Amino acid sequence: MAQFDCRIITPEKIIFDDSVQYVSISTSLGRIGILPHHADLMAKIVPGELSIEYGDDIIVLAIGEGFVNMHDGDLTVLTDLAKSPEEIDEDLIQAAHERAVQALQHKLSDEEYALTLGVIEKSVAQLKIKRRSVKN
Amino acid sequence: MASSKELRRRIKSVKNTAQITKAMEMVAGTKMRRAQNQAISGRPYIEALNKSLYQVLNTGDKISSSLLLPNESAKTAILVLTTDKSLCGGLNTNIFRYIATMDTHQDWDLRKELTYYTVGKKGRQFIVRSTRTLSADFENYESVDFSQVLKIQRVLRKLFLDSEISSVYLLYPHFVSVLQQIPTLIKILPIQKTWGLELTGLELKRQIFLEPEKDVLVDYLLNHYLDAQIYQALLETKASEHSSRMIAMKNATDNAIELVEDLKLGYNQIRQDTITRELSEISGAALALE
Repeated sequence: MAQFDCRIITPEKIIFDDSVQYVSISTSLGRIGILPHHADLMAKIVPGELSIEYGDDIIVLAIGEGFVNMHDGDLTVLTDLAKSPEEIDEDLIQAAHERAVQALQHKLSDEEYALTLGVIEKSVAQLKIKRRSVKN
Repeated sequence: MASSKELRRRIKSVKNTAQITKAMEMVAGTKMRRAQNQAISGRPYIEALNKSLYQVLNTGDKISSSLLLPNESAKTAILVLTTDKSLCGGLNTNIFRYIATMDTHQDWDLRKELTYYTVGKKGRQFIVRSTRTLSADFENYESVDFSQVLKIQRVLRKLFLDSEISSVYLLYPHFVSVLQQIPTLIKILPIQKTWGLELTGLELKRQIFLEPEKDVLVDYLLNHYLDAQIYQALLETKASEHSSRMIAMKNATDNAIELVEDLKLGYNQIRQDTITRELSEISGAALALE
């Protein structure tokens, strides 16, 4: 099957860098699927789920904010968070989520508000992926 | 010649110093490894971001953003990143020397009135002492924090968008290796479309699908680019600081050990002299009694 190069990079490290068959990712306009020979595309991504068909496996990652860039048949995903279910500490994220929800009760500056919303979105995405992987 | 008592005291004091510098070396070494890892692993991200931005700015579409346009202000802002503490070799001094050479810089923007923003106590002190204009000093945290970046970015961006300043430069020690950190000056505002000229072989001027609409995405990318640029520079500064300090402390320890050896030699000589003299006195006295 045709493949294309996919790189997932966070400011901390290169999370993934290999040839894959299919990538599905949540953007601000909804989920998009990327197959080999996709047209050049740049899209903002929102916290949610990214899945990769890699060989016989399907890799699922929780991702944060960032953007994807499909250029010349190579896909680059830049995001501030990319975690596999195994790396997600459910209790920790749950606690962070609750703190953020609490914080929203208070009056916040625009910037704090945006940051807090970001934390909530990211924690929800992580919890969702973690809980689903536990169920299976 | 110093007395043996005096020498003994000096040896002890130098040994103590060596112990302290050795401890500092080890502390800096641990911090260095972490900071170095962070700085180096942050690079692929910023490179990929650079490349994407370059591609999006050079599509056939017309892209307009006030972050890309120069303005008429007569001032240029320079954000200087230094350390809070000294004892890190020539790291800060190299930055200061670079600032001094900027007065005769070729770049047109740097011929304007320069106004300085600093992170790090040493840089702030230098700017004030050398009677340059210090506009603001940002807090310097032990470990780099993204919220710190947002604060800096917001201030500089606003000044730029309000046409208070015509451009923004970053001056920081770029981490090359443990032994080498180079003062680096980069222009971060207005964002330049020609960035990354070294990215040859990129086919330009072609259609890229942008989601959501162009302006939103470009705006996001540009702002994010600014953040990432400042963030990376802060990481580089930390990595440079700790490696430079480790080397400085290692040298200090080595020197102290060498000094102790020298002093010991002198001390032993004096001790030997005394023993020889006493022996000859005793044997002299014994001879006289016979």
